[in-house]
Amino acid sequence: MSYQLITEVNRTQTSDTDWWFLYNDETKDVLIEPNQRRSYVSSPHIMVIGDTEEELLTYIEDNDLIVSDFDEDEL
Amino acid sequence: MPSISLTNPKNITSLKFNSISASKLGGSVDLTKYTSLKKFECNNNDITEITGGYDNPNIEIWLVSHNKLSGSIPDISGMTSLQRFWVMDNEYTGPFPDISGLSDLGIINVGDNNLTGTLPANLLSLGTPNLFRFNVYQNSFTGAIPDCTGMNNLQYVLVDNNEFTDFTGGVEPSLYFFRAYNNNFTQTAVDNILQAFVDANRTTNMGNALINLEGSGNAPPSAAGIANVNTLEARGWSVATN
Repeated sequence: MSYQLITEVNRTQTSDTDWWFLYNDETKDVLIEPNQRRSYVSSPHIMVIGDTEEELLTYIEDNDLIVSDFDEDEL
Repeated sequence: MPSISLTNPKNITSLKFNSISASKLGGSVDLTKYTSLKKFECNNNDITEITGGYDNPNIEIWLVSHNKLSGSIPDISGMTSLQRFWVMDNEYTGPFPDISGLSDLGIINVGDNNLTGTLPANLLSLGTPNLFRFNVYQNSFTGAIPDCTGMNNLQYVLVDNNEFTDFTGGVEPSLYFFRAYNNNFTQTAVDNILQAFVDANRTTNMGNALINLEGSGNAPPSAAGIANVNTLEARGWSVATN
């Protein structure tokens, strides 16, 4: 496992080879799902950057994070 | 292909045919005689056509996501009681449907189709004040995303994976989940979006507040836009840009 946990997310830059996602540690909600988009991210929450999608999915499972489907959620 | 026929459909108020297995309904569904129908739910099937229903003023809930409906989205202006309209992940082409005057509409989700053209210039003029979820992601819409000024119940706007270029106008503090990655927004549009959220000044219930403007095609913000990113982050927003 070689993921990086970033707790000070302030204009944190990702490349298009990084896999990354963003989650709220209080609610356990994943706000941005694992992806490989190049980006600058600012957030009070936690960003996880890794080499593969699989290691991020393992992290999500191991930490009981909630991947809400914002496309389809009913309120 | 199996078909279902009911002897007295005019008294039926709810129909639910969601598939949770590989066994799916296919072909055409005729709702013409279901004149009292309020809720039609037929997600995750292989339905290719629905006749009737679109002019039924009693329909409140219309959930036909993950099917094989094609052609233009039919005229839904006669569904005057409509509260929720879900048609995501079908094969619809053509323009965004006319939702003007559907005053009870809370959710519209036309995501993941092949829709084209532009969207209404602003949502408030449509007379849909109860709209809280506006999902048009993963189509081929162009032009500007709508001005959301005055939409005080709107919470979710998902416009990602389209070809939008512009935005002018505002948003309200109710809006806290804005997903717009993978478009063609100009730097002016990106800056305008960030400024609109700064001006809306949402500062409470920030838990999952998100503005996502990154991804291929979108321009990076200017220095003024980056300053707004910092302002928004200080208020509790998560912001992603190029």
